[in-house]
Amino acid sequence: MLFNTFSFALFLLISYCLYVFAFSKNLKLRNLFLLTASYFFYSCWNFKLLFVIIGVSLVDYLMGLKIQKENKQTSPVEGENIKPAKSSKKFLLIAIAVNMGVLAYFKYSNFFLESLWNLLGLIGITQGEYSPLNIILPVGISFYCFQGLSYVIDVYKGKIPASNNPITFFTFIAFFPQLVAGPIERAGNLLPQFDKSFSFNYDDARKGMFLIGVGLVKKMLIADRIAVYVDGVFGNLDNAVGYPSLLALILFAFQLYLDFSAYSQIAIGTAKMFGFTLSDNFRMPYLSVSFKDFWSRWHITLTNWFRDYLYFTLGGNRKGKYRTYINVLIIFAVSGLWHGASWNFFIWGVLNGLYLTVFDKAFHLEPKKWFSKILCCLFVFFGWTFSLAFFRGATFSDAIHVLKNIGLSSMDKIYEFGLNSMELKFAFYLIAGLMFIELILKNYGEKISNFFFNKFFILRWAVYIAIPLSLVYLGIYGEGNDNTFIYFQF
Amino acid sequence: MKQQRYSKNNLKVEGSKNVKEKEEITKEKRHPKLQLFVKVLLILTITTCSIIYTDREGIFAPTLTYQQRHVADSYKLYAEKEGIDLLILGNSISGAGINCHMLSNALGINNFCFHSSGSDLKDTYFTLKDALCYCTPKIVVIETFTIGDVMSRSMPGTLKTKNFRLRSNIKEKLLSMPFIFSVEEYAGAWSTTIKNHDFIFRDTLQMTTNKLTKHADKKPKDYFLGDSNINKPGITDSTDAIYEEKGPLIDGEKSNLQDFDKEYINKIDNLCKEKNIKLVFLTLPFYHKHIKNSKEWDKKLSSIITPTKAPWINFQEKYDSTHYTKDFFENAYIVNQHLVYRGATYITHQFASYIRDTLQLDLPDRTKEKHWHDYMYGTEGYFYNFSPREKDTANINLCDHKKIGNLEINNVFYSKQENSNNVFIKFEKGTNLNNRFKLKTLVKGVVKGKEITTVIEFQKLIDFECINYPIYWIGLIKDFEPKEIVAIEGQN
Repeated sequence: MLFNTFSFALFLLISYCLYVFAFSKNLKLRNLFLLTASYFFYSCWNFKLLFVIIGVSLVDYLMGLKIQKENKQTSPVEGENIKPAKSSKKFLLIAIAVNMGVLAYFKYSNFFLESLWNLLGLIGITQGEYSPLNIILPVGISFYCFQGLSYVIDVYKGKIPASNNPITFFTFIAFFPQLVAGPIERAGNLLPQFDKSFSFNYDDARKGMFLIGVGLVKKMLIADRIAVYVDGVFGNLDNAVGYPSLLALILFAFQLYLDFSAYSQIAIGTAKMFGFTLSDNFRMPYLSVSFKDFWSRWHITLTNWFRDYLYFTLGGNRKGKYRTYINVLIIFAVSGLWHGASWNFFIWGVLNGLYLTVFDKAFHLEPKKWFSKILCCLFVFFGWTFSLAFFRGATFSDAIHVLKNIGLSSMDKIYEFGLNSMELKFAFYLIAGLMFIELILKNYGEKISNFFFNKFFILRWAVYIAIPLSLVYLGIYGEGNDNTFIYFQF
Repeated sequence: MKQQRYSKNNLKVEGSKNVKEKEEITKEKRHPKLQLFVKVLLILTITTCSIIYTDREGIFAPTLTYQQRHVADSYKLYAEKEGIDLLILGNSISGAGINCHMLSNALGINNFCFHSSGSDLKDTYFTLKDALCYCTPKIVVIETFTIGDVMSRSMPGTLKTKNFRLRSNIKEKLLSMPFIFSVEEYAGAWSTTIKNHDFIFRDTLQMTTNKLTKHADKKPKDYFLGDSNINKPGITDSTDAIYEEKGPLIDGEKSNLQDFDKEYINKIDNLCKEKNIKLVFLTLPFYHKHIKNSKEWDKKLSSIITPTKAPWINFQEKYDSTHYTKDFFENAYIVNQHLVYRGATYITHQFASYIRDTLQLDLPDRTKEKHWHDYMYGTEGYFYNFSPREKDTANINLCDHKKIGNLEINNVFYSKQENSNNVFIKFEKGTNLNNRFKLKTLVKGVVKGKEITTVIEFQKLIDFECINYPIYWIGLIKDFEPKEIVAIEGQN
């Protein structure tokens, strides 16, 4: 059940009405309802894989309780900061092993086995093509495993208390707005919200719906339209010589951003309607002036996760300059592999790690003047776009192919990859418009938001009406369109 | 405190703008759920109205929709006004393969071909259900090209949506939706705007055409019986050469039934039994070079048709190579080969003969109704079965029930065409004339006011021979007006 489908609209309508009118008054009942709705939402993809998420939740829940029990025995004084006990480490390791094991089995089995097969092939032990195991990748596994893991680690470190209520905890892991593609929430932020009773708030509901609308516009009007072109080029690289490849790569940068930020906005908006506040995942990343700045604005919850649970564990920047560089590279390499089980994602991660270490940490790319800011902004954008060749290319040779194509100059076939000139221009105008709005919002966001939601009645209603109409008449949907969110595959 | 702030004195101090705002906030807090509900409803209503408007204007409708819509509207009109005795259901193969006016005139009944391109059996079932809301025919004929994956089709969305829109009964349509569409396709099934909104970027020509032609206003005005015969010559030598080179397009061995075929054939059978309708299966022929292993395919069809105990007329199995010439089949090397006009005419009369002679059902004889003659008069095949009326100036009867030698003539008439006068000699029913029988006649007529008598050789219209009357025909120059058949001489 994708966010940009009629099924989801129906699901949201029914579940929201039930939530507001029938289940909001009793906290336990409300959480049970949210859990049921979330499991129903997930089982629409694959009922059997629901047991994976239940299993992972159960292990994390039990390990959290065990860890807390052990920790309390070593710091029994009420009010004193709980410190990790040695005896609780084994439970932490069990949780890590289970979460990572599940992730490794479902996501990386074929990758590791194929790599091993190819390696052994080099010394003549294996021959022929590797035939992959038939393993279905559960949707959102990387997200919920990381969310569960962060909970156990935080309990272990004594940052948060373990949840005593299985319904609350299971709902925290499976909360449907952010279940399949984040934002990856910290238990410290989200779990306590399940213990607060819900009272209907008009503003929250209105802003939530508005966020959903804006997210759908970004996804269905721009991202999915661009996707037609990008898919057309990447599916036909032999013919996409010159500008089509360059254009496709630039468009993919926007597609990826709009697609994922749209998902995040819909998730945040949906959660807001239900009275929950989720973390921001994007803050206008293409206006970043350095790579460090970029990564503080792009997929924020994942970056923070890696920073807090891996980078700091490796020592962060406390062990000298070179060790810091290595730590950054490790983080980005792992982040690459988190995205997808292929060497392409690994290269994409390492490349971005190199950008950060070389340009930011070594050369201190921190522009002060507006002109240098613009130049840096473009530099960051094109550096990022270059790396996306590996993100989007199905294989390493595809990525190299598209980069080689860029080197050749040809304008001939620019409209031969799924979008005619009118549609391509339309996509460009929308992207330009969106970037302009982001630029304005960056500087005057709060004021504009207040003005929009509280004062400017005509504009507000014009936007309210324009959103569904534009979706109906200009959106990409229906037969023959693959409208999956890119990050669902991770 | 709050009360104080909203006191009259404070209103003056704070200024009218602030007061308005606060009043708004206070208002919003009163019934927030209701307010939200009303606003969402308003936005949805505006959106829905706009969709309904563009749907009604037909801005996003593909051309095909109107052709098919015409079939559906005509069915409804015909079924409600006249009633239908024989209903043919199928896809374009049956639309092209049966000539409904000829069938009606040959059997003296009302029939209709409710066909829709690309229909599979599931779709046919729902079309039947919808059709039965307007009348209950005596016979329902299912054309078997709807069965199986011969077209390698699990019906594409466009076709199943188009077929869905042809159906008129809202309740039946709603009930059928879960069986035909995924939830995602529901809205597109009802609205051409939702289905084809991408015309804005990808088919502006169609949108312009729609605006100019206003197809949506078109309603059936006369009795159109649903068929869509192809008035073109048959397979040419060059197409035949392609068949020789590339071989048949359909392999009965490789073709399979679709997983729902058995279920839906049973549903159709049960529905017909419930309504006391005779179910008949009809297989129209393909060119013999078009299909191989047809017996294998027939076995597969038989495995689901036979249990219904419904009669099945299979023209492919009864392939008559003397009659089924290249002239019968569409001149194209495509999987869904259609019959052309000539082929349809022949097969229609063969089928009529089967209905009359083999099935021997108690069909109503509408030839006794003046009303029936009124609306069937002059349609294709009418004069092959009935005489022209006295007042008719375009179709003129020369004589009725005349005996010339040992031959009994039912009637002789001529039909004025643009460039010629076609003369028909219709012998009495049961007159035994074989195909080698050559007919020489002495015809008296008038050319530019001068009376002449001349010898003319007539040709037999063999396509009709199976039913009712043996007919001979000749096309004469326009200036020659025949007046009388003086003598007839037959040679075997």
